[in-house]
Amino acid sequence: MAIQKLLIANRGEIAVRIIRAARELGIATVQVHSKADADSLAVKLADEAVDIGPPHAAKSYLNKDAILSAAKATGADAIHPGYGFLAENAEFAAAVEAAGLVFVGPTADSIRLMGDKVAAREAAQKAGVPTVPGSQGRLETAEAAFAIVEKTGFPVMIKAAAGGGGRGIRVARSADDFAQLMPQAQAEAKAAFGDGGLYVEKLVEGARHIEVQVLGDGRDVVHCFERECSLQRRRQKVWEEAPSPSLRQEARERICQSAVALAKAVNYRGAGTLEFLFDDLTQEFYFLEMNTRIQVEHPVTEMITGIDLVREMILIAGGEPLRLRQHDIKRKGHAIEVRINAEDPSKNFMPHPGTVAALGVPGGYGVRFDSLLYPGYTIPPFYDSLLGKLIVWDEDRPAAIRRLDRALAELEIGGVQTTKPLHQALARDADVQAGRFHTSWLEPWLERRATSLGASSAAAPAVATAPATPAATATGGQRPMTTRYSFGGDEHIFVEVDEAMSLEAFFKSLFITNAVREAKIKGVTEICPANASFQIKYDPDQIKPNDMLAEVKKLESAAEKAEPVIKTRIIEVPVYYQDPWTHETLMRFRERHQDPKGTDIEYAARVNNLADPAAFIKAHSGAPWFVSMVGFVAGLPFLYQMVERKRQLEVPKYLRPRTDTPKLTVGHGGCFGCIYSVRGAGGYQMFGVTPMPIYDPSQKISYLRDFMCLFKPGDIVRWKPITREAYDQAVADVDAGRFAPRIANITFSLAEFNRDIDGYNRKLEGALNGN
Amino acid sequence: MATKQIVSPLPGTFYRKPAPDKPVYKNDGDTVAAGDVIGLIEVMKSFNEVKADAAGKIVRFIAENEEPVMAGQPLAEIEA
Repeated sequence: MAIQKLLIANRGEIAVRIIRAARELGIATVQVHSKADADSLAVKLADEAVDIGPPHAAKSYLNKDAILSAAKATGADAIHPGYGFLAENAEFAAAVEAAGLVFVGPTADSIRLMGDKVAAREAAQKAGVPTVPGSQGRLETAEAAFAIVEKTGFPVMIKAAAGGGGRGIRVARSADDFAQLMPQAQAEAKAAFGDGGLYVEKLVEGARHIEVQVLGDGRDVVHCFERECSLQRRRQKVWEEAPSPSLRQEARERICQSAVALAKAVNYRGAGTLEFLFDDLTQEFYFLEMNTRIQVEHPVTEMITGIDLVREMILIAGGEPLRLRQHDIKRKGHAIEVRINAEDPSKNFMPHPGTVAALGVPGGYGVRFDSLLYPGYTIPPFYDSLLGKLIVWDEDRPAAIRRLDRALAELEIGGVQTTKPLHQALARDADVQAGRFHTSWLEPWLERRATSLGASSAAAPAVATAPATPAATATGGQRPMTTRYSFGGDEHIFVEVDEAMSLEAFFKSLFITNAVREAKIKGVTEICPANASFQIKYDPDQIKPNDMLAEVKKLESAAEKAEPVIKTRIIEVPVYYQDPWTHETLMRFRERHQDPKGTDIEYAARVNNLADPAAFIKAHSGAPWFVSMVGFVAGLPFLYQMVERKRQLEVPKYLRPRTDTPKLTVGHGGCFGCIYSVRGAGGYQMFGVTPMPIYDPSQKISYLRDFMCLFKPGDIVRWKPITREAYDQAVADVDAGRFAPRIANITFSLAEFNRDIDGYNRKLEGALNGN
Repeated sequence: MATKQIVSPLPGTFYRKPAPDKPVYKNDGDTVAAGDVIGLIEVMKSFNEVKADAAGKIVRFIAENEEPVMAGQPLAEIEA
């Protein structure tokens, strides 16, 4: 009995996906929705919509009676549960069938069986599918435990039977370890939980997550190959792909056959996924669990096999036998899906609901965007943060990653922070490109990059800690820049002149901000240039946001035509490298550093292939640096070394930031240098200190009387290495009011600089000596 | 005596209890210190504490447990 009218008991992008599949099959659709989803895309697309209750999911999307009443009232003859909510609720599946309707999914019995971990594990073993080796149940004696580990080998996890949530777990790496830990664990479990019972299970370290897609009709089962979803944060998948980059063909055949055997053994009906732990060293896999529903990442399988999985599951639910034989199912090329969530990756993935101001959807060959978005849509805060999925296909994995990077650059979701910067950084990461990762890989990677994944704003300098990209290595303007505009409320315009930092991008931003200042536009209250971007604050009562935007765009096109020449200053900054104060501080925070045994400057020398700290100091002070931005804390200059991109010094930031940095520390993070204007927390490497104050809010220091900050964007800094004696003398001079910084006015031409970088730099430095 | 409102910092669902089976953080009439947690806002499945920004006495809760709220919406009234 083919389905005539399908009710979708879900929301978001999967509801849209199901409506599209149904419409193509000529099936009418009913979208149930909460009050918060009345203007969702799914409601707009469906033939009918029924309000089933308040925003809270427990009162709407999880309300079985309300959903069944809506089905009855609209005459729907089938219900598709999507994923999450009621998709794996056996009582709901049973209630749908008891009401005489079709449940688009497996039987209630299958859901129940696979939802019970112990029963699912037993079913797997009966079907000959490997499970994680270990004890079948609790172990009461040491002898029984030893008998198990003889079979499993090491390392093993010893778990307290009464424990949970990671409590009472120990890892034994050898028989000696095990002999020592087992009695301890037993005594501890008894003391902590009043129960000395233990389990022993093989520990699969550095395991990957591989899952197999199956389709069944209750009699026959086929597989549609595997997906790898090892890039996870807090057990949530972030990036999924097919085929797996780590599975060899022989193991692929075994894992897919296992999945089919288990699904057949339980007479599986519909679309389902069997999840496995996979050890890429041994190519062994172990069954974890089965998801008895369509999955978020199903599109990557669709892209490599050409099978519309949602269409197939609707047809099967309507009573059709499987239309596909195993030998008809072929895979071709490589597909990747990334999850675009309304979360700010630079702020610990803080949720970011809001209104979609503008929407730029990527297109072109091999690109697909499944989402719940439309321009002007207000994302409700009551549900999970998945906005959509960007899926790409190409002939092989490297090409697919390049296509992903290209498509991400086209994706624009205005007004909302999303995980797009995370995916851009992943696509450009050497390990991701090489397929070197496992399920515990992403979280430490994120910790190292915590603040560098912001889309924009004050955290921008750290973007440079991302590895060099094709975009970042291009210099001399061969690559066209892509400018992005966004509004911050109705008082700010934020403009990203380019995606990556470069002298060209910095110059362009400086040019436009200078032009805005000179144009004296009525209503402009603040102009803030920053690296490759700038922000303008204006009074919307005096100038309308769209008029302000038009002005900025006009000045931008004028700036593009102008000769890149600026009048600026070169300032000599004395530096006492490897001083005792930063040394004391860096030793105090040593456990937060990549190299706990060395110093910051030793590490910086090594990662830049320089022989020793002396060679590093020579490279650091050997060329001038542009002040690309002032801020973060008051008066702090960010500095960009004025040499070709490939010669720039690059040093990652500390693994975890310090809570203290001496005042006037000369620091470095990514490709940016800085001078800490005040004492405080920080994560940049520390190389030395300058005796020359650069920020004085009391404006008592002679050269800071007119303005409390020494630097402004566009200034050029020349480091001068000095000794302890010279340092002490300079400090005394500052205290006595005798110190005067060496500053010269100069004209800087980007074109002349690019013609002969070293020669031009020598000429600039000559200005300090009156040349 | 001046009364002031504690407003929701975020859009989401307001909870007056740390967990469904736990008692409410505060009752009408309770005194609070600055920084005391008076409830939670769930936004996209993450939970954020709402704290009193000044000491005083809670006159009454304006928002109900599990009520959907917008950013800036008053949750409770406090007498300083």
